[in-house]
Parts: sequence; C-alpha cells; structure tokens
Amino acid sequence: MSADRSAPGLGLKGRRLYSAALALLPGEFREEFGRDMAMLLDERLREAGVSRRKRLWVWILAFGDVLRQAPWLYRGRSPTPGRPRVALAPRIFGLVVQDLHFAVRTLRRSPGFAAVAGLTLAIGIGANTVMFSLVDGVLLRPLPYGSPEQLVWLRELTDEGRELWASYPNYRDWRDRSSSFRGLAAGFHPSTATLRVADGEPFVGRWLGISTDFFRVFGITPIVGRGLLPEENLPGSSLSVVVSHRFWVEHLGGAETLDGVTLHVEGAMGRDETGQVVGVLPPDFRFLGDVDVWLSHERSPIEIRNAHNYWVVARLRSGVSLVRAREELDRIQRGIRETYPKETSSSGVRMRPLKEEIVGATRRPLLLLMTASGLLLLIACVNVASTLLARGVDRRREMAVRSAIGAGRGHLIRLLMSESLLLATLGVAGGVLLGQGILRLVQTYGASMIPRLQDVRLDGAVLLFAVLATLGTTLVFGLFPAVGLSREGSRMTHSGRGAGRDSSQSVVWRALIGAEVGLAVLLLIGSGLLIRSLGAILSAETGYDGSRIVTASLSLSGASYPTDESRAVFIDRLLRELRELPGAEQVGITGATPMQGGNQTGPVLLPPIVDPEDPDEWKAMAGFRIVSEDYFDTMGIPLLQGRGLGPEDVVGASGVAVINTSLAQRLWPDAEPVGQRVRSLWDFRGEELTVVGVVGEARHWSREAGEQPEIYMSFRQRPEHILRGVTTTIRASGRPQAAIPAIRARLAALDPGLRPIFSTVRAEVSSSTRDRRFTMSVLGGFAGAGLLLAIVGIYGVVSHAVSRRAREIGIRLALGAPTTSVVVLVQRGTLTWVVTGMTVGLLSALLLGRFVESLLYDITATDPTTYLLVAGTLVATGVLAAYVPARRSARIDPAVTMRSE
Amino acid sequence: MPSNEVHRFLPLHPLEFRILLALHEGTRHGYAIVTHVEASEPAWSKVFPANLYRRIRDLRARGLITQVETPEADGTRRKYFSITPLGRRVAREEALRLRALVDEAAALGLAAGGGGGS
Repeated sequence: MSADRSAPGLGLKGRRLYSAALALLPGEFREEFGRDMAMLLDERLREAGVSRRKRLWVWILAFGDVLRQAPWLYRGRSPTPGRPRVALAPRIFGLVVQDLHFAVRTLRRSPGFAAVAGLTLAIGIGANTVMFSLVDGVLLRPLPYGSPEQLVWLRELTDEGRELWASYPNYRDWRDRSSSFRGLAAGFHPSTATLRVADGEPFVGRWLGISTDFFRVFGITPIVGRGLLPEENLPGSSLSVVVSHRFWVEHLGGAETLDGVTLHVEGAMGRDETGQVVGVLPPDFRFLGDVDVWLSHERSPIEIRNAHNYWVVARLRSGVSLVRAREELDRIQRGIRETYPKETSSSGVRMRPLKEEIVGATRRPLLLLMTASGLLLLIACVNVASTLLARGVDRRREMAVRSAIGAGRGHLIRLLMSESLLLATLGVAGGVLLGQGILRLVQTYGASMIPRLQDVRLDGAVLLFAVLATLGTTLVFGLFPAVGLSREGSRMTHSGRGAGRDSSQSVVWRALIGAEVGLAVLLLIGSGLLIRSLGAILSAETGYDGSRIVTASLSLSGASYPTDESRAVFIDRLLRELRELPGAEQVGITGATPMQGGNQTGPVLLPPIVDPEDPDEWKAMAGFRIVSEDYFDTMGIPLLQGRGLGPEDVVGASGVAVINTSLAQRLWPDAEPVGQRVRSLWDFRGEELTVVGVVGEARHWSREAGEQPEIYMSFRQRPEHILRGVTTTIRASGRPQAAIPAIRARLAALDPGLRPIFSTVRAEVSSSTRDRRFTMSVLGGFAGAGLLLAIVGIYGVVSHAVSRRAREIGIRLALGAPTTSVVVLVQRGTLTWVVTGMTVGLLSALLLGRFVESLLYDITATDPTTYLLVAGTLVATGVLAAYVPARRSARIDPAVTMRSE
Repeated sequence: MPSNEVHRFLPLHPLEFRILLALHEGTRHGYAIVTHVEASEPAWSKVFPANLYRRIRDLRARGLITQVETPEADGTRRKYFSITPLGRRVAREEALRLRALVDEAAALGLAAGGGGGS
C-alpha cells in the first residue's frame, strides 16, 4: 500500500500538534526518533486521503499510540523476552490499582485540598452535565415521532416576508393539489374546554383540533382503539375523540375497550357536545404541549381564506427534497392568489423542519449556556491545576526522594496523574449528583420555557459525556503540573537544589491565572448584558398599575348559562357582589388575563366600507378586547380623551368603542379620534362603531412586545364574546393574596361551578419574563462561580509567592525597603497577568458579542456600561485578592525568616 | 555462537518478528517496514509511530538490528535499519519455534487445511 502523494500530509500545524503529543515521551527517545515518527504519521495521513473522518481517525490512533507506548518507553526497555510474562491487561490493572491506592492515601493526608478541588470540579462538571442533558434532550435527540426528519411545518408567506399561519381553504388546496407529501395535517392552537366523562366531575382540560391525517402524518399508532376515520371528520358528522395516555389512566381507568365510552366537551369550537372516545395515544406522544383530548375539527372548519388560524404539519415523501416541495407549494399558492386575489395576501409558503419550529427559539440560549458552562469548567480546571502546582512546590522534596530511590519520570507522572484522576472522579461523582438536583429544579420551574423538557434526563449519553469530561479535565488540569513536578523531582535528585527563584513554572502558573480571569470576563460580560436587558424590560412601562390586582379566570358552564343574555346578567351580578367585598376597591372583567395573550387580533376598517374582506381596506390590525366599564379604572389604565365605556352601552344602543393611543395614532394621525367611526372584523355584528374615548397604551401581551393597537368594547354590548372564559380583575385594598380567600368564598356562593383560577397581575408580569430570567440567572450563576474561582486563584498564587519569597522579602525589609514597595513587588507579577487576562477577555467579548445580540433588549452587545462595570469589578477584586496575602509579606519578621533557613 | 544465546531472545513479540522479516530482505526505513508488514498480512492492524520506534529501539538495543547510513538518494534523511547476523539467527529460531507450534497444532487437527478434525 503506498501513500497518495497528492493528498495532504501532516502540515506545519499538524507537526506542531504531534510534537506536543510527543512531549509525553522520554526526551532521548523523542530526540532520536521524533522526526522519523512525524514522517511516518505524515505518510499515514496521506494514505487517509482527503476524507476528514479518516484523517481524524488517524489522529486519534496516533495519539492513542503515543499514550499507550509512553509507559513502556519510560521503563527503559520492553520486558526482557524469554522471561515468563504476565499478560498485559492484568498487569496494567495491577498498576492502576496500586497507583489509585497511592492517590487515595495522598489525598487523605490533605482532605481540605481534596474537598476544595473536588468541589471546584463538581461545580464545573455539574453545570456541564445539566447543560449537556438539556442540549441533548432538547436539541440533539430526534423528536419522538416516526421518521421525524420528514416532518415540516408550513406557513403562508406574504410579499413583505411576513409569516402567517395557514387558513383552512389554503390548507385544503395544498393537501389536495400537492404531490410532494405523504400527508398534511392541520389543526387549531391548543385551547381549554370543560370535559366530563359520563356522570363524573367536570374539569378543565386542553384540547387540540386535528384533521384526519394527523396520526398518519406524525407516524403515531394509538395504543388502544384507533385514530380518526375520514368520515368522522366530515361536516355534520358527530364528534370523535382520541385521548392522551394520562387522560385514559386518570379518567377512564385504563379501560381495555373503549366501546360506549363517551366524553362531554363544553366550549370547544364554540359548542357543547358529547363524543365517542375512539382511541388512546402512547404515553410519550406530545405535540404543542400537553394535550388531554384530540378532536376532529374538520367537521366545522373556518372557511375563510384570510383567517389564519391553522398550523399545518406535513410529511415529505421519501426522496423529495425540501426545495422541490417548497417550489411545488409556492406554485400552488400563487395559483390560489390568482384565483382569489382579494382574500389572499400570501404568494408563497415558508417551510421549516418541525424540529426547528419546536426548539428553534431555545437553541440560542441553550447553546449560549452550554458554552458558558464549558467556560466555567475550564476555569475550574485551571484553578485546580494552579492548586496542584502550588502543592507541587511543597512536594518537590517528596518527588526528589522518590526519584532518588529509583522512580523514573514516567512513574512520577503516573503517580501524579492518578491523583488527578481520582480528584476528577470525585468531581464527576459530585457533579453528576449536583447536576441531578439542578435538573430536577429546572424541570420543576422551567417547564413552560423550554420545549421538550420532559424528554430530558441524565442517561447513558450524559454519563458518557461525564466520563469524557473526567478524562478531559484530568488531562487539562493534571498533566501540566505532573510533567513540571516530575521534571523538578528528577532534577533535584541530580543537583540537590530546588528550582530557582522564579521558575518557568510560576510564570506558567500566573499565565493560568490570567487565562482564568479572561474566561471569567467573558462570563461576566455575557451575564451583565442579560441582566441589564432584563432591567430594561422590567422598567419598560406596562401602562398599568398591577401591584394590587388579583385576577380570577372563570369558566361559565354552558349548562348554567345557555344564552348570551344569561351570561351578561350573571356577570353584572358578579361585578356588583364582588364590589361589596370589604377588601375590593374596584372590580372589572376582561376577556383575557393580562400577559397571557389569548386575545383576538384582527383587521380594523374605516367607513365607507365596500368589501370588508378586501385586505386593501384594512387600515390596521388591532386587538379586540371585551371589558366591563370599570376595567380601565381597576387596572389603572388612564383615560386620555372622551369618555370610557358606561352602563348605558348595552345591546340595542348604538355601538361604541374605546381605543388606545397607538390605534388612534395609526388611524387618525392628524385628526381628533373621538367621534370617528370604525369597524373591527372581530366584531361579528359588522356594525360601525363610534369611538367615544382614547385610553393609554397597556402592554397586555408581554413587556417586550412594544406598542399594540387595541379596541375595547363593553361586554354589555357584545355579550356573545363572553364565551366560556372570562377573567375578573379586582383591585385589592391591601396585599392581593390576602384578598383571595374572601373572593373565592363569594364566587363559590354565587356559583360553585365557576372553578376560578387565581393569580395576580404581578405574578403574570413576572412569569412573562420567566424564560429570560432563567437564562439570565443560570448565566449569572456561572459568572459568579467563575469570578469566585478566579479570586481564589489570584489569592492562591499571591500567597504562595509570598511564602516562597519570604527570605528575599525578609532581606529587603532588613535592608530598609519600605513596606509598600514589598507589597507591590509580590503583587506585580500576578496583577500584570490579571490585567492581561482581563484585556484579552474584554476583546474576546467584543468579538463574541454578536452571539448574544438576539437575546438583548434595548442595549447593544458592546454596551460600554457593562464593559466598564465588569472591568472595574475585576480590577477591584483582583487587587483585593492579591493585596490580602501581599499585605502579610510586609509583616514578615526578617530575623525569623532568615534564621529559619 | 551457542544456541542458548539465541534462545534468550525468544519468543519475539509479533511486531518485532515482522520487523526482522521486513529487514531480512534488505535495508529499509520505518515507513517501508510498516508497509511491508501491512502488505504481507492485510488483517494486521495499522502500526503507528510510537509503537514502531519503540520496537526498533528495543531490537537495536538487543543487537538484532542496526542503524545504517541513509542512502544519498533519500532526500528526507530518514533513518534506515538493517538486520544483524544475530538478528537473522534469532528470526530463524523464532520461525522454527513457530513452525513447531504450528505442527503441533496441525497434529491436534487444529490447523489442518483450515478445517477442524473429523
């Protein structure tokens, strides 16, 4: 076999890398054969050709080869032939046991050191285990559907590049006219409804409307019964229900047969009906969060081409590329637009892999945190390495003795490395335990912000990761001190003296501290930017005073309140009764709890209106909110112009609306809004409304959302919009939580079937920033730990310098050097590296800033305040950490130190 | 030379034996030895530098091979090795030892025509 001369060989970089690996081998062997070895590797690489995988494999084998041969080369010679040989594996095992035994004894002699080093590594490895399991479970592992790589999420794409969910008629056309897909499924956003099994207790559950193809597209077979049949999804057919595994166990008692099992569903798709339960899904199936029941929605689809209410997931035919499928859909969509130009704003289709759609938004924060945890582990390694170096100085004598009685250098390295390995093992054990705990916390508190969190667990892949991390960290933090120390050990045997004043080792050590500081800077800047962003978001005006407001979401059962009037009458009574409560200052109602979304946003038109379905006539998109007249006062939303809604605005009276400033700005930038006429497509009565007042901007969705035009109407005038769910907002006179029991009692007295869910506006607001706070606090924790480790490192290196140079300092002081000059002297070497590390860290942060840019709000990634703060913090803590031990040096008594030698 | 001086070196490590065989045909450098070894028995796993040169060092220390001058034609100044007379004798003894082993195995029906005994 001869090597291909044209393929790339070792190259300059490779040669350097290989020489670095060869540093593990004895010097004389390296000098004699190193060049030839590199040439041989060069040929090996040429044989591998240009394939990256093959080349990588050659490198792995070459490193393994060096590691395997190193112990033999240090032994002088391979075992004498002829002598009966113990098989290699047991012998190595024996050596390992012997070495570990030694390591255990050594570490037991200094439990403090072992504890600190083990804990340091445990923090680093724990953080990495958690982040790796999150990344593995959320991003890397395939979705739990059959051949998930074939699944794509489809959206309509407007000419301006806006993405819209699909409308039902468009979905139907895609499905019927395309040939690239094995199937297309569509459905609504999950929503809640009141469910009741036979004569059981009613409860609120989540339902998802789906098309017939749903189970086939997702490749899911029900474990009991079947999926939906096409005839069960035709207009006019009766309801069929597929239930979740949990629902089946909890509410159906895990019945083996579903014959005759029915479910009463109230408030799904605007109806109350009883359906046949036909199937049970496997326990791990999850799509769009936890869902209790899947209902056939195509029985009553929304046949409006510009009502974009449907998600569409499709399965590509095998062999069809994304590009080809998209071209086909684009063509179909263009055809649709030509046929229905007025109702269709989209001329294309956006197609994304389902996985990207589900986890896409989480990818960046997770990868950022994974990187941060890697940095933290590096800092931990550097720290332990520097501690080992410090110990090494104290152990030079021990090494010299060992070397003198015949331990070779390889043997010394092996002893020291097994100590490191033991430390790393302690670290991993602690880290995995710690990680387990943290992961449990994250799963408890992070459920709503990370998709697929239930899929995350510490499993084989994670343990493998931990083992690799152990080996990696051992190499990183153990090898350098071990090599240095063993060299010193053998040198001292020959010369009988210790290393010089400022050995190269201590320079390296300080450089390590510098590196640690640099890494800490990166973490601090990252978390600093996120903290300042969160501050900016929290201080962004919500537009209302949420401090004392209790919200209670109520579900009005269709049985008790069959008509619009009955609901309106009930709400009127509810408002009156709650107002009488001693703890309630003001009471209002709204269709959707603030910060929970769930509002209806739709087109707003101005008269004269010719064709309301014509997008050309849509002047703005605005949220349509149904409220009571006291809502604005209760929430503290200021009335800026005109009047608010009043008790006189009832069904039959002429329709009136209150709008907010941003809608007023958009519709009549130069005119007086009060008295103008307006229409919202969400108002199904199609009446032109008179604007009677303008209120301030209130951020009902999230604090980051920015301006949101809104139009408010009274529930008295549009009772049909109070379907099943309504939220009562109560301004309490004292602490909002304290008011809840009284409100609950009053509501129960009114109607035990309301099943109120209580919250406070403050809690809703804070939960709307929860995912940010999660990223921020994790990163902040990493940064804090990194800073702490860096401080410990700086402190360690300076105190060690002081103790090592005690004699020199003593002489200087005896000769009359001022205390300050001595303090400066011992600090200087370290602080230079701290500042260098910091500078490098700041520069790298500038370069890497764009990776966090998308997570920031209202500041840039180069925010000078953050940089200055971080630099200031580091300089201050660095100087302090160096000053404390340096100060000790000034108290050195020259007489004592000089006598001690 | 008394044969016990040769027997002192036996058994040889398989790779050492193969290096001796490669050099039996003539002077070679490291890579040439490796290609020879791998060509004669393709199933042999690849030989990597540290392993090869450790064996070369040991063989040389035992006087079984020796380093010779690099031919001028080789511009890379690689090290060349050749087998010593002692090395040749050790290789022959090792071959005889192995053949004796193979014969014994064959007598037991282990190595006859690749099939087992009937």
